[in-house]
Amino acid sequence: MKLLDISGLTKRFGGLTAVNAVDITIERGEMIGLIGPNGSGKTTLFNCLTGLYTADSGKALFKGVEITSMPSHRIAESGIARTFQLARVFHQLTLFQNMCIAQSHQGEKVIATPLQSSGAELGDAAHCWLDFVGLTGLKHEYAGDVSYGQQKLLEFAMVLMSDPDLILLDEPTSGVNPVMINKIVPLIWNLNQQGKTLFIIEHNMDVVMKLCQRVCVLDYGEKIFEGIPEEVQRNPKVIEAYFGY
Amino acid sequence: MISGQILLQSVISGMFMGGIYALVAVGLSLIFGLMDIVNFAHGDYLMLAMFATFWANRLLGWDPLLTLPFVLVIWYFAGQATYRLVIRRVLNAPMVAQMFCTFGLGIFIRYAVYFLWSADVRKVSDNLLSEVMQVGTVFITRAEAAAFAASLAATALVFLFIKRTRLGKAIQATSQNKAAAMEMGIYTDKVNAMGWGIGIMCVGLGGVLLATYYPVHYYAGWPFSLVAYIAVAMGGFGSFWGVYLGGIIIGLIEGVLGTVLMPTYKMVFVYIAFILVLIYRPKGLFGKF
Amino acid sequence: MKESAATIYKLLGVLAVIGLLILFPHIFPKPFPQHIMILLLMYVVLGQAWNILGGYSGQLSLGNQIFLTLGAYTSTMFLVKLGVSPWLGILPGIVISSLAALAIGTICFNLKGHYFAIATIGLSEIIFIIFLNWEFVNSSYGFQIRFAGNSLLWMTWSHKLPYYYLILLLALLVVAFVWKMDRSTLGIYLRAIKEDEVRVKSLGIDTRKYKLLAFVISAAITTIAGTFYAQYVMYIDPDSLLNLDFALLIIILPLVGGMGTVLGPILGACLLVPLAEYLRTLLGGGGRGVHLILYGLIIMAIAVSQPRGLIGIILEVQRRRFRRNSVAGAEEESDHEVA
Repeated sequence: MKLLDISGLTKRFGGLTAVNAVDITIERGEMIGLIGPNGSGKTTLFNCLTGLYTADSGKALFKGVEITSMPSHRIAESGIARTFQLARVFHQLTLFQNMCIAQSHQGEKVIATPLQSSGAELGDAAHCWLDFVGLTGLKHEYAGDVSYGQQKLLEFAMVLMSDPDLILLDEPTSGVNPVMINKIVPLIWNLNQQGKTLFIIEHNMDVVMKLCQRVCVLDYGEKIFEGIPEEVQRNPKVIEAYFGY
Repeated sequence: MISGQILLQSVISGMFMGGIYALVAVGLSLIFGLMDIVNFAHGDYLMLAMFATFWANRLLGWDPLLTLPFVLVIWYFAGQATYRLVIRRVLNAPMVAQMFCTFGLGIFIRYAVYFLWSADVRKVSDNLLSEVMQVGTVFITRAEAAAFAASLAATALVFLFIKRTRLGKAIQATSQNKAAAMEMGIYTDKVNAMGWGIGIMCVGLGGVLLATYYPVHYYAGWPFSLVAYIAVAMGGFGSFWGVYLGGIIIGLIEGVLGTVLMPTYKMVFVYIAFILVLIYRPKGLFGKF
Repeated sequence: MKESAATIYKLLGVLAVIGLLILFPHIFPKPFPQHIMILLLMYVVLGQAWNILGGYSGQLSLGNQIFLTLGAYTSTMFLVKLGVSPWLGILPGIVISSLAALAIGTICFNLKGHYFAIATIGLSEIIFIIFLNWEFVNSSYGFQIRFAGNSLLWMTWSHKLPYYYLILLLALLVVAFVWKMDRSTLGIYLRAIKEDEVRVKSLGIDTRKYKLLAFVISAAITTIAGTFYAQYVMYIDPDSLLNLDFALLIIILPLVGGMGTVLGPILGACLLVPLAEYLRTLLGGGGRGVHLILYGLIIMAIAVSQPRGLIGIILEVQRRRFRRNSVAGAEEESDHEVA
């Protein structure tokens, strides 16, 4: 069974069609890239997949279940985790508390929460992932006080906390210096080696080349090409989309 | 059974009141459209205009129609001043801070008035407009009719100003996309100040007209504030005439349902309608976005 | 080492304050200061209750007086019509308020910031108009509570002392609860929701449920305060409970003190209530409403400079002082400790 099966997904905003009948399928264990010029609908696609937007037509099946009109939290619970183009972490909370929010919430009793000490049952998983991204030493700092690169790493650790089946990364290397990129890319590679499925939006072609087995290209909301990275680089339609000729 | 005559009367009266609501709402939506700030003190400027009319009448013997041009001018500058002295400082602050700011402003104005002039209810007496006319089977005061006509005219003028003049287009541009407007060389600061000026001026107009037939006291503005928010929500964001219509509709709901069903509960119908609109059509009845 | 010393000092400080509060009516045996303190403590309770929803999760409700009213009316009507002690009357009040909170929250929580606030005002006005005209609750006449002798069972006394201890107890319990909640899972969730609700949802949390929980807790606490209020003032009517001024007071204090913190509502009340009384005595009858003029100015000043309120100002001062000493580690630690 395909892990993610998107067919005919369309999203319009007033007169503008941001995502136009897009078909993409992803198998378990793959690492797929999503590229395209600015405004081609990549982030919008992610937003439709995670319940931030409701698609106007078409559908997306995750593990065989339709997620197109599910609320965000249910989609997250079913095993999809996602990062944002501008790292969205909670500045007013410590790294540790951020991880607490990111953990899986299955079976949590709402009524009990006012009296539960936060972080009581966190322990191992949180430490493991903070270690993975190298942030253990900062766990009691407020997320608003650490550097942007560290916030990006925190966001990674957070999406891993819930042990998702599919991880959507929205421009994981944007806004980040080359040294940090060299830290992040191996992390992503590692995740895939461990069996995680990844769907990555990226503008940095080097990163796409290094990581992705297949690449989908969007332009004005339509999927104009799909293939292995080398093919994509040479394809005339893709070149036209980026450079206009 | 309610007679057709009473129904007609309530429709007309309701519509006229709606005109005032609409005028206030148009001012509010201008400010909201420009800088995404809900002016919780809007109705208090209305109340101040009502008091100005009252005192001019009592102390100087001026008819409200005479006070009107003065209020228009002063209120325009008051709006600008409010923007420059207070609002500008919270333009980029979180919504919570913006809310408290105008909220605090409203409290300040209301209680300053309470302190100065107590809670006594005043009325503006003998003015040119208090005569009651009969049109067909319906009784209306000249004041109500004048208020409605003025509100329609004022809104039309503001609308034309926004759509046709260069300054007006600058306002439109800033409402739609502040960053782009700035890049095009529009001084968004001046545009904001002008928006406040016009918005408060509309409210001032409403206040003067209202004072000709409505009781004046320190809390008088608040129900109008509330109705204005409702009109803006109902009318939809980005639609000027939608907001105007929202105001008229509220006036009608209040007047008609109030008369037909239960007068004491008339505002309840308005609030219920408001909540229904917010839930089922959050973009407003005529909203574009 | 340094951390545990600081914690001990904090604990001693808190105990000292509680001790002073307990001794207060004996230090000041006159009814007037006791009355001020009773008001202050009641506003602390109301402010903390509002804070749980508004301060922590960011849903600014201007309708908490609805629950105050429901509490006051429910226990009073049980008392007057069924002869039930107000202590028991609190329970149906909480049930009714909780249901109301669930209803209001479910309908209105998806409204954006200012519209939620306006909707709550609208609801408050609806209830006001209904109560004003509903014979079952005695319309605009309201209810008078008969003095039943100095009685704990009937919650009436001829002097202020027992009222004082009652409200003090309630205030201490509520503050302790909010302190615990601040550090709990719910506290973290609410603060995250306030900062970025969409993000919280994308992490698998059904934010609606937690906001509703906060709302119900907030409503329940306010309801209890409503019963106290009714028994203290011994007269309730729609106008005194549902007027907008009262509604404003409920939220001004935690706003000025600092939303979303444990100390905020306390500081707000401690500053503003005595200020109001001072002004009232200073200016006498001619000074009506002056304290509210001042409140308006203070709110604007806070909105413009430090929306986090008094707590925010204190934290800023601390931050600057420590920056001068430039001990980086101490800086972070003391920030955590104040609130």
